[in-house]
Parts: sequence; structure tokens; C-alpha cells
Amino acid sequence: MWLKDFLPRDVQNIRIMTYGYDSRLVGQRKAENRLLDHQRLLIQDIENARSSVEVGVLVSRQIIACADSVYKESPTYHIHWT
Amino acid sequence: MMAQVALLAGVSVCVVGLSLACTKYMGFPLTLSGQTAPAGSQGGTSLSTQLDQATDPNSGPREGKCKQLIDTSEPLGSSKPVNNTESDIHSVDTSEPQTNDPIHSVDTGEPQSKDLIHSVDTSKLQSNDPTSSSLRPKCFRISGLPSSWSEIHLFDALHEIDQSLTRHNYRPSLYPSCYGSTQTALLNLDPCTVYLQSRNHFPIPKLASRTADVLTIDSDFYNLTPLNILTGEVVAELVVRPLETSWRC
Repeated sequence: MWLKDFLPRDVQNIRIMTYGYDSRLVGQRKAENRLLDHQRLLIQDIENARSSVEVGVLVSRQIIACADSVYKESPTYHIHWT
Repeated sequence: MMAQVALLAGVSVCVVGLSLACTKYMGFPLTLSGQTAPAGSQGGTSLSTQLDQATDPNSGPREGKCKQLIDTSEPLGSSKPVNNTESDIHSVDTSEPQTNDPIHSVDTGEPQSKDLIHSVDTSKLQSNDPTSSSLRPKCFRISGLPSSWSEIHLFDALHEIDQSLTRHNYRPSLYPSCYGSTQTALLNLDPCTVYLQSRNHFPIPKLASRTADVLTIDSDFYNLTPLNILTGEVVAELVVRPLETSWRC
């Protein structure tokens, strides 16, 4: 997997993470959270991750977000995450 | 009186002569009704005796007739099916004693069919083999590992709940968790085991993990998952929202 096997060799001192959320929009087990809920959960998770490394330190650094677009013919599946 | 004795003697001589003639030139003995051929005689209609005669190069004029009898017998067949039988026995079960004796070849006909059935059953069992290639690879995330754990500790805990897990398909990667002081492991199983193939999210029992911490194994990868070990000062966070499972390969 390039994210964990190759990227850390080329780019030093970054913290590489994946972020996943339940994006099922149809079906019996479709996600209950809306897009705004996913946004809040993501920010909260990043804050928790930073506070676990730098305790009591005001962290101010960049976040590089890499996302994809899932598009399967129907606009129902069209999600942009940036 | 003398005439009766002479008549009986003549009749006896005729009967014996006729019997010998039938045995020698016609290939079968002339026996009285209800009698069987004596043991060791060349006559009789027993199948094994006919086969012996067919393969005996010194069988004389009876050879052609006996071969004709064998050809009409389907289990015995001609020389070609007999050769096929021997070759099939070679391919199916080499533990069977190989012999050129036609009688043994005929006797092994039924076990041969059993061996073929057995081979079919074996192939069916192999299709249900948990380690067969029909199982797709699958990646799991195991959260809550104690910081002192290594790959061996994790293998022991997973092996408690899934005995089919072997070190052959066990390739984990351990990283410090995004939150707290625990570790997170990524485990790519190729091929995946039957037990874990249909499971997406479940806790590992404490009895299996032998730790007070709750270990959770999942394959949905919700929330943050670490992918590297921090060695120095962090200058940036790279957060990737991958396209389904493509990033795990």
C-alpha cells in the first residue's frame, strides 16, 4: 500500500492517517449522519489526535487533505470531500 | 450273459472315446447331466479358467475360442480395455499391486470405480478448503493494542478466536494510535480466513487477548487510522479519504 509503504520514505515528519465514515446513502443500513455531521466529527477527531501528541500545546500547522470523488451514474452517490 | 458284458464294454468304450474327442477338438468336455468338471481339468466353463486359457500361449487350438468368449464379456473386455484398466489403476492408486494376471485385473475393476468416486469426493472437499483461492483478501484494523505488544502477542490473540489463521497469511503492521497510548494494527489477510471473511466489526474477547484492554477488530476503517510511526517533530497531517478499499492493496 503506497500510503504506508512508500510515502513515509519520501516525505518525512508528517503524520499520515486515513479518515473513513459511513457514506451509505441508500439501503437498509444507510448512514444517519448528514454531511455537516461528518464535518464536525472529522474536526473533532483531528483535534483529539493532535492533543494526544502535543499535550497542552497550541498546535498550529497545516492539514493536507486528500480525498476522492465517488460518482456512480446516479447523482445520489455524488460526494465531494475536501 | 457274455453278450451283455460285451455290449456294456462297447458302450463304455464309445462314451469314453466320444468324451475325449469332444474335449480335444471342440474345446469343451462332454459331461453327464448334473456333473461338474473335475478340478484341474482343462474343460469347464468357469470364467477364470477361460481367461487362463486365453492368456496361455500354449493353449493350442482353444485360444481363439476362449478369446472370443472374453471379447463378448464386457467387464473383461478385449486386450484394449484391459490395458486401460491397468493405466487407470496406475493413475488413481499406485498402492495397488500391479500384475499382468487378467484375473487380478478383473478383480480390481470394482475398486477402480470406487477410487474414481473417491477422487471426485476429494475434489469437492478441496473446493471447500478454507485456504483455497476462492477467499478474497481482506484488510482489518485492530484497535486498542497495549503499547507493549508485538506482532507475536497479536497473533496469539487472533489465533485464539480463529484457529485457521497461520503465520503464512499473517502480515500485520503496528502503529501508535491516533488517540491515547495504545497501538493500532493493520492486518492484511490474503487469502482471508472463513471465520473473518464475513465479519466486519466485533470485539476480541478479553479471555482470548489476555489483557484488560478491549481489542476491537473491524474492516470498515471509520474515523482516523494511523499509517506511519512518528519519528520527529510533526510538521503536517496528511488525512486521506480513500476510495473504498483501493488504498489497502
